[in-house]
Amino acid sequence: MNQQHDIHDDPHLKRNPFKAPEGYLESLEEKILSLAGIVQNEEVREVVTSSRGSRWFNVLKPALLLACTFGVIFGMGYGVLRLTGTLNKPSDTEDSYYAKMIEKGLIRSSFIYPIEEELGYEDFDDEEPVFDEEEVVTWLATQYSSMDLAQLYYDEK
Amino acid sequence: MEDSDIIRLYKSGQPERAFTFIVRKYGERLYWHIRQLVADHNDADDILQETFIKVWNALPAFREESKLYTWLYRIATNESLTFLKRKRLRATFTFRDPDADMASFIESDPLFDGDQLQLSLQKAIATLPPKQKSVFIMRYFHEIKYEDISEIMGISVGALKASYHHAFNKVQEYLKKEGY
Repeated sequence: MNQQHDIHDDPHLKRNPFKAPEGYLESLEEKILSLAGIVQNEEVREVVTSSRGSRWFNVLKPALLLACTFGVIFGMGYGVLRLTGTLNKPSDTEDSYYAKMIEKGLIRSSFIYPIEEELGYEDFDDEEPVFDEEEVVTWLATQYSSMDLAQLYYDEK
Repeated sequence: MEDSDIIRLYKSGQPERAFTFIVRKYGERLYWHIRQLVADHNDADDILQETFIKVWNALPAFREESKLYTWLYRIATNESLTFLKRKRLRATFTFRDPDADMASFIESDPLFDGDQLQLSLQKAIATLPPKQKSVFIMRYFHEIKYEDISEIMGISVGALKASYHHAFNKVQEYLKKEGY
């Protein structure tokens, strides 16, 4: 092979071999200046500055989209549950049957009421029980012997 | 207009005029810088627009710790490197060779106006890793000083010289294989 081409100081090689499309360089200044109207007025500066905000939005966009997708899926699931009546539905259907019966007044809502009525208590919980001391003594005397009572008294001490 | 005059204009409360002068002075230079990095005109155009939007947004934060032109090149280079990295990643996922893609693109590009040797040189450059490629382009074609490339790339001058040397050898090796 002949002597290697010296590229060090070859002016031909250092010449730029690329061309720009016709008229491109002539219109370059105008194009850049009119780009988003950057230098036309101060308002545009604000537009350019506000584009920084939109850049943040672009960064957050995937996360927001993901959150929205979850929201939509959750919403659809909730809607389906609401429509099918699964949500807040009592697990035992008989309960709702009894609830309806109670609502209609066909049965009482609690078994305590009949007992209260039987005993004749109006306000079962509120009333303080009244004990007659003599009755208690008589009752104890009939139930326990004097030895048992003494033993109970001793245990209590 | 000097860069210092542009900065003064910006500080005197005329940002639009200052920006207009920046675009006038550096628009074309940055376009060619980006174009040589990415090869495709449409990609270069998109990156150039994005670069100037960033320049406009970042102008209030420009502290004059670096030169205006190195600052502009830094933004343009970073935008181009980000683009090239994404392109490489896309190519990896589609089981394509990004270097071969770029080489075949240049070969068939109607906006490529070079001869066979220049085409081979561009194909050789296409095989370089993105950072090495940008160092090579800035040094070889634009003849930017190492100190300024260091400011643009954020790499030490020593590391840059080594990087350029590697790139140069690779390019020369490629051309040798091609018969030049």
